[in-house]
Amino acid sequence: MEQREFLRKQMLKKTREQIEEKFAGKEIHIIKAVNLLSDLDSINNLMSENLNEWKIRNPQNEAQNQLETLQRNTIQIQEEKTKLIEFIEKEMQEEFPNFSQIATPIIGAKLLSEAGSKKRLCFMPASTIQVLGAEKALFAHLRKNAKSPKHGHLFNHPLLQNMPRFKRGKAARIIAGKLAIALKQDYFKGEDTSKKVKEELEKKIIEIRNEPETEAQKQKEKNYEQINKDRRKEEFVKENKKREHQMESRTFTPEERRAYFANQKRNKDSFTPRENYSNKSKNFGKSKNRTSDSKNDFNQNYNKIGNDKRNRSESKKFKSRGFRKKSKTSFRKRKPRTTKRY
Amino acid sequence: MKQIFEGIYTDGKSIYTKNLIVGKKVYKEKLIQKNGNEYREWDPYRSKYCAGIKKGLNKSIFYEGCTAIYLGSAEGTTVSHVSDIIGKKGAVFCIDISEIAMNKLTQLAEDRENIYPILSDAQLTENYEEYFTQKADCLFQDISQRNQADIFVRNSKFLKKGGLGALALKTKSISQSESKENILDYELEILKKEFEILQTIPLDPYEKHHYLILMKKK
Repeated sequence: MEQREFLRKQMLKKTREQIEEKFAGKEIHIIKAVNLLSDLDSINNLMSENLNEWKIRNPQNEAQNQLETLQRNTIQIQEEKTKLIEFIEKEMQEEFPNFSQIATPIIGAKLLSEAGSKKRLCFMPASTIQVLGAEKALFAHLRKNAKSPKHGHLFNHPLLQNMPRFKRGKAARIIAGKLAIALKQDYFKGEDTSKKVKEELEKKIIEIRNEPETEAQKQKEKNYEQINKDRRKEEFVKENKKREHQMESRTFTPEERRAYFANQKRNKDSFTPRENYSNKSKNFGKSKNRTSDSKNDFNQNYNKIGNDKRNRSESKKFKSRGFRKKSKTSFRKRKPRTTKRY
Repeated sequence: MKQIFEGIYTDGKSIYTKNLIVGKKVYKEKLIQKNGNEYREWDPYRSKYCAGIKKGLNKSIFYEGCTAIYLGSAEGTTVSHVSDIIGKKGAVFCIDISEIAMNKLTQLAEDRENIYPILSDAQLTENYEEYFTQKADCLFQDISQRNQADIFVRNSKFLKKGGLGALALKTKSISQSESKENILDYELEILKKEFEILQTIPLDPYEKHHYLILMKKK
């Protein structure tokens, strides 16, 4: 029994030491700060978007008070962000003097949070540092036959910013190599040689930028542009469709609704003119209190949709008059599943 | 109070265990005084083993004075009830990978003298091999990993012959698209290498897509 008690105390001591070791590392505070920074970014975007939309509507009295609190909070968040960035820069300079100079402190902190801990990051090969942050693309490449990613978080590195597309992979590879060396220097507490390395790196990358393009690269660039054009066209068509759908499914104010139905009725009548009704309905469509231009635009938009709807309703009417069968609302039979075991 | 299994009681509605340390709560559960004893209520929505008992478990794997292994102990809600059942002579070895959860469990282990915490990955049995000089009486696992059954079989080397084991199987962490019945069939085939399967219970109203599997080592 005494042996058991001794064992239990030893085990408790050991687990507590392990937990403390994990919690005591300075890098954990950097990781938490960087994760907070990315969250604050998205919060700031959401709030400022709300604020700008509200400002246009000329709020008064109580609404103005609400708006002021919103404004105060957004400013506070922006201040917090700048403080956080200062904190990260300071901590990174102490923990990773070489690494944070070559990869700017914020990008370095992002890489650190992706790796999980200081030890894990420092023992990584250069090739994994190069694609840290592009996990989705990497696994798509490994699983399917997609292209391999050139850079993850390194994409935002100032040396890579103005690089042409086909040279970016080569440059990212070189930077990642230097980063891997710097990390090992920091982990085993070597000398601070960041200035020298940085100068060398910049020289090398300028050399790469000044290299003449080969013809294969030119051809690649052309192909890429063509693909981009096609994609933009597709997006344009998609967006148009979306907008139309939005207009159809929008909720209207009573005035708008009246105008909309009036338009519809007029179109119907123009299609199947009836002598008695035609004059009246034409007057009915033009609402009397039309003041603003926006309403005119709105009505013009709805002429199109009205036309579409009319055609649909016409065909429906035709069917409803005849002996149409009731539509079956039964469940569609499923095909028997060919079971596959993961 | 009526006794169902050793150390587990009911009053017709809910399930209770005798409190090992009188007057102390672990999470926000109810305490009830009856016949001079204090009982702690066991919540089936928070504990998969209790949900299994509610759905009609045949045999309880824990008994008084046994040494148990608990894989995936987390913050220790179920572990506290297990330590109630096994009493002061018993021992429960709790293994978990998360430091934050383990931090809470060490606080629990200070009060309860039959809890032995181990911070390790349950897949790497070499890390905690040295603690098990004798073989354990029972094994329980609640880990949501893709290779749950494989981990259970790997840890069965610490279990004695004829010892009972229970596995809380989460089917969603194995496959999202496959039906849970198909997954269960597949996982049972893995378990049949080392174990004889006694009972499988779906934990339906308490936990979705979960099973409790009761086994005996060959």
